Parts: sequence; C-alpha cells; structure tokens
Amino acid sequence: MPEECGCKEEKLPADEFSPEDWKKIDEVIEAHREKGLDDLLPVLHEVQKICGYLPASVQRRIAAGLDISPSTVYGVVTFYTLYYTKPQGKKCLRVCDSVTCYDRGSKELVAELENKLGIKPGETTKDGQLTLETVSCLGACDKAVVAMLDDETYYNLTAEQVSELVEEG
Amino acid sequence: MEERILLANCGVIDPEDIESYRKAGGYKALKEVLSAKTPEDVIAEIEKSGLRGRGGAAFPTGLKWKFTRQAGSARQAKEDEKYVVCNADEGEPGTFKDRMLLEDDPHLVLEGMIIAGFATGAQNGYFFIRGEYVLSISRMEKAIEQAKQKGLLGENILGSGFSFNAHVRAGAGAYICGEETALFAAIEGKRGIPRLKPPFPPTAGLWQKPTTINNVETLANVPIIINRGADWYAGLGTESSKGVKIFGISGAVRSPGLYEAPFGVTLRHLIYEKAGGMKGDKPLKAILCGGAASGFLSSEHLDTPVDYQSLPPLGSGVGSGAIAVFAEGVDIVDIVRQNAGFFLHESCGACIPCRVGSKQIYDILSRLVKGQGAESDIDLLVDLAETMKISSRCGLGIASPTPVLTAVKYFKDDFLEKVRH
Ligand SMILES: Cc1cc2nc3c(=O)[nH]c(=O)nc-3n(C[C@H](O)[C@H](O)[C@H](O)COP(=O)(O)O)c2cc1C
Ligand code: FES
Repeated sequence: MPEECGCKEEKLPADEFSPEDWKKIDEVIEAHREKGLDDLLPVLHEVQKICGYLPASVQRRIAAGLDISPSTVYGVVTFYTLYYTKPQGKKCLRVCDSVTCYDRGSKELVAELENKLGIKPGETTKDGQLTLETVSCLGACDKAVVAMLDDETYYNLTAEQVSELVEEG
Repeated sequence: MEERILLANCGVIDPEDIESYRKAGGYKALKEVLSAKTPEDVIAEIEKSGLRGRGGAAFPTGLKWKFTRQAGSARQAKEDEKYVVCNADEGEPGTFKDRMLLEDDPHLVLEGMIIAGFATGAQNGYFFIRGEYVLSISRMEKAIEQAKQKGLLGENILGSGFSFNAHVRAGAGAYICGEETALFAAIEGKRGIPRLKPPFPPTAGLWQKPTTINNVETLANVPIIINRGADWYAGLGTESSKGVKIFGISGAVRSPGLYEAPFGVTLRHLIYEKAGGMKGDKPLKAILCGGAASGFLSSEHLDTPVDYQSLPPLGSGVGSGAIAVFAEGVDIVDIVRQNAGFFLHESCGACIPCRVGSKQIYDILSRLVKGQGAESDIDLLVDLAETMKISSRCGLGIASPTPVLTAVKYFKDDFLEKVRH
C-alpha cells in the first residue's frame, strides 16, 4: 500500500514548512522531551496545530526528539482519527452521522453538501478551503443534526443552514 | 418539577468561576472529608449509598475504590503510584450527559475526583476528555487552575496533609479509548488497543499502577452523596438500583434533552412526561436504550422501569442513560445498518471476531437494506452476532452485536419485509 507507507510524504519538498514553523515544532518537542512516549498524544496535538497535518518528516522529527521509534509515532498517528497524514482544507466541517442525527436528517444534509461542494466525505475542495467529514456522535444529540466547523459546534442544522454555513465559512 | 440533584448547578452557576460553585455549596464535601473522615469512612459511605458506575458497566463504585486502596497496601506501592482516572471520552452515540456536566459544572466532577483520590490513596488524577469536546477541555483546565489557586489541589490540601494533582488529557478521536484499558494506553502515548483483563485496573491500571477509573457522572455523584448522606441517596431509586440517573433523550420527541430521575422511572414517563411525548404525535416505533451498543426496545416496553434489574432480561440496559427514540415510519433496518457502520469503523482490529464480524454484519445489513438479501441472511446475522458476543476480546465486540440482535428480536417483520420482494 504505497499510499499508506509514508513514502509519498517523504517526496514532499523539504521546505514545506518554514524555518519558523520548524522552530515552533522543536519548541513543542523540547517542552515534552523528558516525558518521551507518555506525552506523544499531546505533542501530536500541539504540532498538528502548527503544521495542519503530520507528514513523515514531522513524525520523524518528533520520534527523534522524544527518543522513540518512527514506527511508534506512525502507528499512533494512523490509529487516531483526529491526526492527519495528508494536508487538510483550511477549514474542516464535521457532520455527525450517528443514530440520532442520521434519523433526524444528516444523510440528506451530507448529500446536499456533496452536491454543493463537489466532494465526498473525507475529501477537500479543489481550492483547498474546506475538508468535509462525517463523524460519530458529537455529544449533542438533543440538538440533532449537529456539525462542527473547526472548533465551533452548530446545532439543529437543516440542509439549508449548512449550505449557508459553508458559504460564509 | 422534581428536584434537580446532579444537574442542579447546570445553567445556574458560572462554570468558569470557582466562587460561583462554592456559593452553591461546592467543595463543602471535600472539606468535610479532609477534616473529619478517614479514607475507609469515605469508601464505606460510597458503598452504603449503592452508587454504581455510570459509564455503562454499573460496577459498584465503593468496591472499586476499596480494591484500589487495598491494592496499594498489599503490594507496598508508594502512595504516589496510584491514580484516579476520569473517563470523559464520552463517545457512545446517543449520549450527551458527560459533556453537559463538564461544560456546566466542572468543579463538581473535579471535587468528586479529589475525594476519590483521598479515598483510594492516589496522588494524581487524569481527566481523559474527548478531543472533540473543546469547551469541556478548556473548562476543566480552568477549573483545575482555580482549584490550585485556592489550595484545593496541590500539596497539603487545606492543611490536611493530603496532596493531589489533577491533569487533563485530550483524546484524539477513537471510540475504543472509552474502554478503560484502551484509555490507559492512550494516556501512555500508545495506540488505543484494549488489554486483556485480568489484571483489572485497581490492581494494574495506568502505567500498570493501581488505578480507579470512573465515569464523569459517577464522580459527580460523590460530593452529593457526602453532603447529603448515603442513607438519603440510597433511599432514591429502587432496591437493585439506588440513586438518580441522568437520561439523555433524543430523536423523535417534542423536547429532547437531559433529564434526571430516580432509577425505576418508566420509559413512558421519561418519553411522554419529561420529553413531552412524540413529535407530531406520531406513534413510537423503537427505543435504542442505553446507547448504541445497547439494545432496541419497542412500544410494548414503555412501562418497563429503567433500572439494572428490569432491562437486561429484555436484551437492553441502562448503559449510559441514552434514550434514542424513533417514530413509526423509520426504516429500522437502515438505522441498525448505520449503527453497525459505526462499530465497523471503530473496531480496533486486535481480535478476529470483532474485526471480521463487524464487517460481515455491516455487509449483510447493507444487502438487506438494498433489498438484495435473502431470508437466510437474517439467520446468518443472528449467528454472527452471537458468535461475536461470546468470542470478542473486549467490550466493543461483546456489546456491539446487541442492537442487531434486539432489532431482529423485536422488529423481525421489518427484516422479513426487506427480503420479500
Ligand atoms: C467500547 C467501550 C467504550 C466505552 N466508552 C466509555 C465512555 O465513553 N465513557 C465511560 O465512562 N465509560 C466507557 N466505557 C466503560 C469503561 O470501560 C469503564 O467501565 C468505565 O469507565 C468505568 O467507570 P464507572 O465504573 O464509573 O462506570 C466503555 C467501554 C467499552 C467496552
Ligand atoms: S447522534 Fe449526532 S450528536 Fe449524538
């Protein structure tokens, strides 16, 4: 599976992130160095905030800094859905498709979005502005349908409202 | 309206201000515990209250604490080598109570954790909060900061000699990390693969040290029990199921939301009184009771008391307190398929029954929904689900076939409809 092995990311230009970005990455690693593996999840969270995603080059930097194997980092990055190995859109729209939201119309809502954006869940618009995802229960089922645009949660959404949300976004 | 107990502060106090919580009686229980009780007293009080875990497995909380306390003395572990972990990874579809408690009353949960630390002999506690719960994470971080400033966390709390620190860890998007041992793995920086049990967490939990892990709602009960007494608490609910529970009612009802009630309340009361009845007065078709990994019930079961004794014989359970309601007209087989898709996605893949079984179940349900299934598929579905239940490695594979089995049991005609073309 060449897509999954990380080789593809390796071919990315080395200067994809600016020297300032690398400096910030190193600072994060430095702050957690002593804890090593124990702090891997917080490090990945913080570094992803800087880079937007976690390509192989960044994973290797983290592995070296925390003194753990690159495959450990890769294994963890690919286990959790909130870590990305590919570049994401500037913004991310996550629509809940668990039981209650599904029953209350998330399917129609996602269909509307697919139509409007020309992408399927898991994909990013051509202009790189928006990634669309379907996710499991966001813990606000009494206000279904629920979606998150980045860190902001939106409730009682209809297909129309979500369309507007995307336009404004 | 009945008295609000667990949710009393929600929407009333300012969750970002410790003084607002204190004015509402907050941290009184902690003070009382540290000044007048031994850890054994606290454990006895919690045992007497009948409190059981609200994360789904309903294990008696006092007993769990006692095991953790004893694990230390038996193994001569140093006091600082024990942990309290608060399971705030709420990911069970249909469940939204822990989020409300964390966002609206974080100090209540924190106070519960500190008392658990004192009782079990732990010096450190971790809140493992779902990564998506951005506000819950920031509110708890703020609560911890404020409690530290007031000397309610840290060294020598309120001059009692007891020291305790609390930390927040954000999840990274994996339902399986709600399973306690997978959650430990996540805090340890690893993939969230469940461990085999035994050993159980009170013996070997976080970093293999004695650990008490409790759900958010479980810990929220603790200060209330200390303040009002175990006898008062045990007087609520039923003989088998003491106390109060938060129910999250969602779906085809008029007023979906969180409602608390003593155990033993009927589904009818919850749905028709608390949640205002069915939206548009449609007839009720199905209830997914206890969470997405629990069982479906039908309108026949509306007068069943919701407690630990009455629901399991029906193939369902109290679970997380989620009550998802579906109206007549819903394609129940499609709902079951969608739900099975969730478990297919979330199976960690460590054991064959769950990894392969989840996929097979999803495929069969998809066939049925598309009208491409045969009657024998329904038997195959049941056979697979039962095999998964008895052979999976952890609770995910053991519980996730439950909605499938109960749906076939109570809505067989809907399944047969799909194969009669
Ligand atoms: C797949 C799976 C997911 C779980 N998710 C959660 C969860 O999100 N929150 C929770 O409190 N317990 C969850 N549990 C139950 C925990 O393993 C554990 O029983 C609970 O945290 C113990 O706390 P309690 O005794 O206070 O209920 C889950 C269990 C399984 C098998
Ligand atoms: S089912 Fe969508 S928020 Fe819970």
